[in-house]
Amino acid sequence: MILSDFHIHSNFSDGKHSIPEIVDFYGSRGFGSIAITDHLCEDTTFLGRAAAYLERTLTPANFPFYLEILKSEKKRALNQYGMVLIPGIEITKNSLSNHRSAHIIALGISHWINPNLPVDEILTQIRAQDAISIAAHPVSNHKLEKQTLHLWDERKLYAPLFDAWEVGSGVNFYEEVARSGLPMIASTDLHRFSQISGWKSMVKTQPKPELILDAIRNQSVSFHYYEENYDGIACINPLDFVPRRRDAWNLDFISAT
Amino acid sequence: MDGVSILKPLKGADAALALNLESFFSIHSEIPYELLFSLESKQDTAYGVLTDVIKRFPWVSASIFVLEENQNPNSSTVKNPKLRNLSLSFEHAKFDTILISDSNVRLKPGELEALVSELSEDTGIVTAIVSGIEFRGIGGALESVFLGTFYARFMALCNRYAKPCVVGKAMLFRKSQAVRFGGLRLLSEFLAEDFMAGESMRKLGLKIKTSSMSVNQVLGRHSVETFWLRHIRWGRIRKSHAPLPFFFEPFFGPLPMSLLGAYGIHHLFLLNALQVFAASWAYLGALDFLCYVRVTRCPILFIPCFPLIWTLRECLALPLWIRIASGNDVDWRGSRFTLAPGGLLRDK
Repeated sequence: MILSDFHIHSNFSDGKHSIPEIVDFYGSRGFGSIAITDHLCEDTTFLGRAAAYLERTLTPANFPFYLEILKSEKKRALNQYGMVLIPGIEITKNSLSNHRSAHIIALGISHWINPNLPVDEILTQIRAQDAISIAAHPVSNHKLEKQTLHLWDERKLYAPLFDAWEVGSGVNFYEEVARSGLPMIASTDLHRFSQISGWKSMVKTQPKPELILDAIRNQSVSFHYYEENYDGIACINPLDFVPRRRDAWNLDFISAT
Repeated sequence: MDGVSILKPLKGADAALALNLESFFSIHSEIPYELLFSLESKQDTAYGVLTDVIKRFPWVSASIFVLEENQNPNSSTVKNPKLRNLSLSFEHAKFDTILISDSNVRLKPGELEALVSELSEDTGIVTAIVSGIEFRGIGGALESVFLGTFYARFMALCNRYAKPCVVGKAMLFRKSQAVRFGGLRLLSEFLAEDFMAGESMRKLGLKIKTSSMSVNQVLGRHSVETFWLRHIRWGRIRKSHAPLPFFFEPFFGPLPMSLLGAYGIHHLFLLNALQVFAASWAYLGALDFLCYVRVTRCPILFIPCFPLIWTLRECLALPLWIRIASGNDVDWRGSRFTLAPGGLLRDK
C-alpha cells in the first residue's frame, strides 16, 4: 500500500513552496507517491489572463522548466526517499459562473496540452499521452469560495472520459461522488504545508509511476483521512502521523478494491 | 569550492577590449580559475586581440572555443546568439562554479572574491549591479546615468523585495544547479537568458543575491540612437517577462511623480505648483545623484553635466516607454526577433 497525494501546487502556479521543498516535505513523512499538479489556465478568458499576469499559472514559457525540474526531482525523490514523483498539471477553466468552471487534473503528462480546447478534446489529449485524467473538486463544498461544478453538471457526458473523480479534496469529503458509482480518488489540493491534513489515497501496487497510474485506473485505491498538527517541519516526527479513518464516515462502502 | 570557470563570449572588438580581457588575466586571488573564451568565427575582430593577450599571460589557464570549427550538434537549435556562442565553453568548464561575464566587463580587484563569497549553499545565482564607465558622447553619458540610477534602483528593489533580477554582465552559479532546470538548453529559447536563469533558480527554492561590488561595463562611444535602440530592446524584454510592473513603470519616474505631487499639493494646500515641482525634481535628482555616485564613482568632470544628462534621460523616459509598448520586435547581434509573452524568442 502506498500513501499518496496526487494534487499538489508549487510556486510554478499559486503554491507557496518550491518543488524540491515539496519533495522533502512529503518524503520525510513517508509518502510513497506524490503528484505535482500546477495550474495551467486558459489564456482566452479574463480570469485566465489575470492568472498569467499575476504569475499564477504555467505558461508555454515556463512549462519546459517545470517538466525539467520535475524530471530532476523525480530522480532525487526516488534515490533519497524511495518516493515516486508523478508529473501533473491541473487544467484550469475558470469562469465567473461556478457552473462553467472546471478543473481537470492530468497525471503522468510529458507534453504541453492546450488549455483552451473543449473539455472532451483535453481529455482525449491526456489519454493520448498515456496519462490519466481526474475531475478535481467536482461538487460544491458548501463554502463561500469559488466552486467548479461544470464537470459534475455534465457527468453523464464526461464520465467515460475520466479515470477518476475526487471524492476527497483537502478536508472536504464529497458524499455525492462517493454514492455515484464513479471511479474515485482523494487528494489534498495542497498549496501550503499547513494544509497537509486531509483526505489521501492509499494505492495497492508497486512503487512505479506506470503501476500507480494503472492502480488508479483499476481503482485499487482506498481513502483515508490523514491528520497532523502542523507545528513547523523541524519538530515533526513522521512516525507520529498515523493516517486514520474519519469516524463520521463509514468508508468501507466506498472502498473500490 | 574547487575553483571558478570564467566563461567569456566574444563578438567584435568592444571598446578597450584588450584592457578588459587583461583584467581577467591579472586576477590576484587565491581562488583557482580558468578562462574560457568563445567566438563564432576566427574572422571575428576579437580573435586577434584575444590571442595577443593570451600570449602575454602564458601562465594563466585560458582556452578558446570557436563555434564554426567545433560545430556542436545541439548548437544549431539554440536561438539565443550569446548562448549559442557559450554552448561549447559551458560543456568544457572544468569547475562546477561558473562565472559568465560579458566581453565589455572590466574586472576590479576583489570583485571575483566578492561574487564568490555570496555563493552559499542556498544561493542559486550571484549577480551584480552594472556601472557604466569610460563613456563618450551624449549616448554614453545617458547610458551610464540610466545604469547608475534607474537600473540600479530597479535591480536592488527587485532582488530585495520582488522577483529576482539577474544581469548577464556577471552571473555566478553552480553548473550542477543549472542542470536541474535544464541548463543552457532551455535558456536558449529566451533573449533574457539571465532573467530566466534567475527565475528558474527561484523556482528551485534558491536565492538570488547581489554582490556588494558593482561590475564595471566599459561603454566607450555611444550615440543617442544606440542608447535608444538598446533600451527599446531591454524594455521589450521587461515587458514580455513582467507586463504588469512594466505597465506601472512610467508612474514611478521622477517627472510624473513630481508633476502629480505638484498638482495634488497645489489643490490640497494651495502651495505654488511650480515651486513644489521644482523642489520635488531637485530632491529626486539629488537622490539619483547619490545612487549614481555610489554605483559608478562619478568622474569629477562629469558632476556639472549630471543634472543635464539626468534631466534629458528622465524626459526621454516616457517617449521611450511608449515606443517600447508599441511593439514586440527586437534587433540583437544582427538578427531580428519577436518576443512572445514570457520572453520566448520567435524568429521574425
